[in-house]
Amino acid sequence: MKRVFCCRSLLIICAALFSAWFFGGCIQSDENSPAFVNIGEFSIKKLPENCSEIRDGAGRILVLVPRGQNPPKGYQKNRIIETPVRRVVVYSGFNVSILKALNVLDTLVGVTHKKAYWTIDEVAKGMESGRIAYIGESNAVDFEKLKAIEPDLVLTWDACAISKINELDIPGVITITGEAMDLDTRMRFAQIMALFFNREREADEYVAKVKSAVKRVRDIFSDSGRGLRRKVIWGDIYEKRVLVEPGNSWAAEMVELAGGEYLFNDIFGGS
Amino acid sequence: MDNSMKKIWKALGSIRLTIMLLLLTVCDLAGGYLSLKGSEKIFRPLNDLGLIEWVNTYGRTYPGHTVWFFMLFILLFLLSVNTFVCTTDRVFLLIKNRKYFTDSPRFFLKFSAHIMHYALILILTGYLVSYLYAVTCSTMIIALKQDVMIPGTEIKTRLQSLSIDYYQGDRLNFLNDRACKVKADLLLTSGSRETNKTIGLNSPFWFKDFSFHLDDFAPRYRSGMQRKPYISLIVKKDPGMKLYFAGTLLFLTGLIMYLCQWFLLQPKKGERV
Repeated sequence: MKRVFCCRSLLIICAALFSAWFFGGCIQSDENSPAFVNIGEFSIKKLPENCSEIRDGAGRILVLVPRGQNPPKGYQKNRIIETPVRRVVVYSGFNVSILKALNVLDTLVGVTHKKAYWTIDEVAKGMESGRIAYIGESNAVDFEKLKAIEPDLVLTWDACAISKINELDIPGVITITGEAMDLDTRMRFAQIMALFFNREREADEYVAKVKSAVKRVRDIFSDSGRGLRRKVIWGDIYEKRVLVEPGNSWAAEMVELAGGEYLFNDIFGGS
Repeated sequence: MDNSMKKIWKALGSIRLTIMLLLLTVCDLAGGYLSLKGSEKIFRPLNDLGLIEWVNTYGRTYPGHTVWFFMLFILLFLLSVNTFVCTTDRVFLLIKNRKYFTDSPRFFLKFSAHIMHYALILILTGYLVSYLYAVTCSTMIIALKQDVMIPGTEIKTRLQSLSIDYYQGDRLNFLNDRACKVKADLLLTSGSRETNKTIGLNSPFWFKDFSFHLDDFAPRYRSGMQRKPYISLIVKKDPGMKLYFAGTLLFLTGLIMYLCQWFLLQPKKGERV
């Protein structure tokens, strides 16, 4: 009798737990207006009154507030970003190219590369006319110059710069993540950037375009079949050291998609 | 207690329920292990968001990946209740049978296993309190000779100096020039009080109810891309920490008592306990 009771209890508990698992797996969030979106290590959480909370690449929380509106309580001044951002300083070339994709290059007021580096016409011309300032190399930024150009936001990959930027009461966002970005995160990063400029529609179009290009690459390779696979590594060579992209990075994914063999596929880590 | 309450109490303290719960916990953790592979990113923010916020964001967005975690909560709750009821029954029984013990140390040491069980519940409660009520300020980046205020407090932190030891050796060539030991000297100011503290990897410190932990630092390599020196701190006010330290201490007490019972009070050959 006791054994029957025991088996029945076990069955009931198992059934309850597995139904919870099954139904849990079936729950879908509202894709059209999700209250929370996670892109790699970044995330966006919608707040009341058209505000949003974003988690940057280093896990810092910042709040986006429509221009002219009072910010929600509980945030430091240098963690509040007024949107749309009108003046932005950008460290990374990749982030500048996202600005171009979002059609907001006119908001760019400062960069950390000299004019000769840029292949984007608008940036080179902007630097020539003085509209875009060179604020020094990323490891030697002139913070007085940065303050003088009065940006609304600084997008940086350099965590070390954040404390100085915050000291100037300028909000700063870290655009790289501890773990290397995968291809999906790299593509959808534009959707994070779009929030600063109210360009969500442009970002969605851009992501769809890049996704279709990636699909095209995949299709070309799958049509040609798996013949000879070129061995590829992707990295930066420094004195006495070579830093490579790990197997979980977008670079490794792209090599594999294009029919190559990424030699550090077994390595997991940061960029 | 009326009859039905007695029945419920007995069912909750049953050893069969313990075995079932443990088996299910093993299955759930095995599922969790498989589900966690490649989705660690979903769980990382749990450290600083707190349980409620995490459930409302990541937990609900990825139910397929997180449902094992919710189940683990239910199972651990049931296991705690089961442990409490079962242990309490045994403790009462022991007290009732006190007269059968010839000496008090033997009687006293008989509580060792029960103390360990209560300690386990205390440790689990501590973790729950920690995930529910801890206030965490993550990624506090401080550059050399810079002051940073800890949000919501009057504590100002200044990085006075940063010393990094880099590995040099023939045995592990690939680790050459890579940081292996870091020590940061901080000056903490709260009102008129100034305190110097040193922090390192696995060497946190306490200051005014807050625990300070070293999260990240630079430069990590002596060669390669040159980075400016900085540290990143996690500052935490965790009311659960005292509970699980107390639980660990209690568990240790129970363990020592159990060892005493095992070594000192072994019945001699032919002696009845």
